[in-house]
Amino acid sequence: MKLAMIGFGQAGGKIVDKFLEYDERTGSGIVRSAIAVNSARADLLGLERIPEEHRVLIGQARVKGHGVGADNELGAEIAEEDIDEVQGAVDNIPVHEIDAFLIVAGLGGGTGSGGSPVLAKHLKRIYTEPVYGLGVLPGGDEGGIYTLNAARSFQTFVREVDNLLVFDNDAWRKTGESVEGGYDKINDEIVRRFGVLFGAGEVSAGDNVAESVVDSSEIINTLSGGGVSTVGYDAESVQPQNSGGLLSRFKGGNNTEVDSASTTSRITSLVRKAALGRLTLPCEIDGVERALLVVSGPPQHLNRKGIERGRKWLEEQTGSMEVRGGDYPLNEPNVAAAVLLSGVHNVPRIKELQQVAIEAQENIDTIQSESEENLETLVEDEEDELDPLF
Amino acid sequence: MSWIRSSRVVVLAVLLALALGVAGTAMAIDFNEDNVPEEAEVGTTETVTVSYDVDQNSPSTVEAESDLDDAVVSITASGPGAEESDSGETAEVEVDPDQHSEVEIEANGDIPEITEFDYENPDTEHVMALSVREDGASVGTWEIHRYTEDSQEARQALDDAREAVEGSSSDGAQSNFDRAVTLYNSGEFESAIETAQDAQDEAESEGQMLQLLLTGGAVLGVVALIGGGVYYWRSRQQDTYKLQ
Repeated sequence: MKLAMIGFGQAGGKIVDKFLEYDERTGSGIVRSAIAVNSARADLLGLERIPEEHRVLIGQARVKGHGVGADNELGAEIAEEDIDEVQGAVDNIPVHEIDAFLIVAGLGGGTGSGGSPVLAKHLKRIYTEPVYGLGVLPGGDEGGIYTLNAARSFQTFVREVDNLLVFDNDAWRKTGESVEGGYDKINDEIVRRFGVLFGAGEVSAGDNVAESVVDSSEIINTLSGGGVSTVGYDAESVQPQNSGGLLSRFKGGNNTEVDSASTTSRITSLVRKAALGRLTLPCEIDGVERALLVVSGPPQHLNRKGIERGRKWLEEQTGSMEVRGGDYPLNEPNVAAAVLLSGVHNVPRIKELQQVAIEAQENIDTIQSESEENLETLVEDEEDELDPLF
Repeated sequence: MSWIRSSRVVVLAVLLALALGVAGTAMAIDFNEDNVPEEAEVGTTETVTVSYDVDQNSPSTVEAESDLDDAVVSITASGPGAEESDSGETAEVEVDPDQHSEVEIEANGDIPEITEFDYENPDTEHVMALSVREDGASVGTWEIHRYTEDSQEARQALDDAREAVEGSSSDGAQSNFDRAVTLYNSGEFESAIETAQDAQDEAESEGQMLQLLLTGGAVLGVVALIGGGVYYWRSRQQDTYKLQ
């Protein structure tokens, strides 16, 4: 699946940069074009792989390239005002070569959180290609303002995109990590998951061709109902196969045989772990509308029975009959299962996020309403005997 | 052809063969080179001394001469019975094997000026220091290579240049060397030295350039090898796996 990726805000830009690095490193070829949009010049300068001409600085008239300071309403406003500048960069994308747009943004901040729903609305109006969002939720300990931003942006973003893939930082944060190292690892996790998922149908000449190809249309159909999606993923190392050295040719083909029973059980176990324990947005999978299963690894470790069983299991667990599946053969000593669950409803984390956001909103409102009165108490004397200068 | 004429030819042939036979016998003298310098500077006084043990059966006449300037040649035949000697510009002694057991011949004189220089044929610069004849047939000649201070220096320079030029493929160095040889042969030693030096420099600089290129190539090869190795190692280290 070929994507035009637009990284909005600092987190969005960094993740798209990571996608480009992953593409370059593994040769998966999922990023057809990459654009970064930001209101802070410094954040754009920190990017490494997105071409300079694809970095768009918006809101210069309002914030002079210094960012919106976690004010996502301002972020939305300047995105609205400067949408033509973003469109100018999007014009360079060969849209006929892409399968979808993917807008990547952190939902807790200002620019990405506010601007990405605006851009999604704009792109949907102009193009027929689906516009997906990849939203990153802030960790619970990042603070009330960020939670409030995320909750408001989430609401709007879900409404404006064809599907919102969500990644929850809270589910992935480990204690004792440095800020930079922590985000770097999280970004790696994001990129690997979505890379495998979107890369599944991208087969170039000389690659192994899947028995059951996961084409971009499968992904688009899975995401087509709209709503919120989460991706589960798990991988396991396997013994690398002897690539057929001289000695092994004489020894015969015994070692290329892989025990079918263990392969089947490995795949089903990977699917279970991916769907139950390793989701980008932890949720109850019961009631999920649609699902897509991609099993990847060396061809001899991918067996039809395992994939069928995995898919069956997903159908049972989700209660949905719309579970697609396929294999993605790769010559590397790992077997992985990626599960895309689309149309998730039962997400305790979102409810929790909204609760915190409501509290934050109330707190902000209360403080604001009391603010004037408190200031007056501070400034005025009790008997009102003093007069201002003018 | 008449019978008489052909018989004369046969007689002549027999006589010639006999003469050669005698000369052959006479030439078989084994000289001890007591003092024979290989080379000497023009104008210096040199002495050449040779000797031999008498082992012929019949008496013979030994003569000696020298091309040295103011040469004095002496022959001394000595033995348990008697001693006979002669000296002068040339010398001649009758050697009787019954009386003489050893003959010593000596030439003393100044090394004469060189009339013709030839680098390629150093023989032309030799002077005949001593020539010995027995019964009229030459039995030994000793020559000394002569030089002047300048000619020796020039020849040395040419020798050095030739060694360098032969080891290189520079046409310029070769033509310079040829010119230096011509200059040497015409006696212009100073110019010959300079030109030989030029030829040597040119040949050596070409050699150095070649050396430099070879070294550079080798260094580049090593760097490429190391770089390739590091690149290969890095690419092996780099995680190109998509799944984990």
